[in-house]
Amino acid sequence: MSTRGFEQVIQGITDLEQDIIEGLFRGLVDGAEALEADAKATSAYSGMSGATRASTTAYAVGPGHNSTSKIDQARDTAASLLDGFEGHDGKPFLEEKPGPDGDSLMVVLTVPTSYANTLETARGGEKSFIGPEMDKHAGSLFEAANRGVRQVLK
Amino acid sequence: MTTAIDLHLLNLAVYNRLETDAQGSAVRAALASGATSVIHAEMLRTTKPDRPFVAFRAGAMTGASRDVRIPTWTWFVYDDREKGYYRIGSLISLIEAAYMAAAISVSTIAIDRIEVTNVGAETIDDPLQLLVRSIQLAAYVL
Repeated sequence: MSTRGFEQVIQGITDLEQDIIEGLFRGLVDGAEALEADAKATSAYSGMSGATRASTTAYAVGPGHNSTSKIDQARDTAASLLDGFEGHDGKPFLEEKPGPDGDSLMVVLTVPTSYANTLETARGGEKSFIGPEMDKHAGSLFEAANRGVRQVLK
Repeated sequence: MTTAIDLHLLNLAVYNRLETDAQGSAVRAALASGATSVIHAEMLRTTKPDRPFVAFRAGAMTGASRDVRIPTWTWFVYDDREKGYYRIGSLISLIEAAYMAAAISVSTIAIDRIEVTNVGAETIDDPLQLLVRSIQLAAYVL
C-alpha cells in the first residue's frame, strides 16, 4: 500500500466518524421533537397562563450545534404569555448550563420560566413532567440515535 | 420478559425498604419519627410531617415488554429551611446504602439490581416552604 493510499484510508475513517456523529445528532433531533410533543401534551399539570406548555422545548446539542435559537424562541414565547399575566409572579428565566464535553451529544428538555423548578419538585413532584418525560423517552431517544446512524451506514 | 409485572408488588417492595426492612433502619433512625416519617408523596396534599421526612413517588417504567424493563422511583427528602441541607445530604447517602445493602425480592419478578440514577439539586418546595432534594432509583427487571 502506498503512503498516499494509507492516508486516504485514514481520511475515509475520519470522515466516516464525523458522518456517524452527524447521523447520531440528526437522530437525536428527531427524538427531541417527539419528546417535546409528548411533554407539551402532558396532563401532569393544568397550568394558568399557558406559558409552561407553550414554552416547553426539547433540543439536541453537540459539537457545532448549539441551542441558542430554540431556547431563545421558547423564552420569547414564555415572555409573551407572562407579560401582564397577574395569576402568579412567574417570569421568563434562562440559566446558562455547561454543554456536553468533546464529541458528546445531549438532549435537553426544559421550560424557560422562573417557576419550572418549583413545578418539578413541589409536593413531592406532584406536577412533575420534565423528569418523567425524560425517563419515558430515554429508550426512544437511543433508538432515534440508532436510526440516524443506520441512515449513514446504509 | 415473558410475564406481566405486578407494579403494586414491586412498588411496595421498594417503599418497604425504607419503611419496614432491616436495611432501611439507619434511614428511619435519621428521620423525625421513624417509620411514620416515611410517606407516599400524594399525602403531601394534606399532611406536612415533622422534619426530616421522606416522600415516595413511583415514576415511569421504560422498556418494551420483551426487553429489560426499567421502572423508576423517587424519594423526596425534606427538612426545615433553617436546618440547611446537611441532614438531607446524610439521608441521601443512607437511602442509597439501604438499597445497596441487599437486593429487593419480589415473587414472580426477577430484579437484577436497583441503582441510583439521579440525585436532584438542592431546592425549595415552595408550597410546603421546606428544603427538598430528590434521589431517583431505577431497577433492571428481567
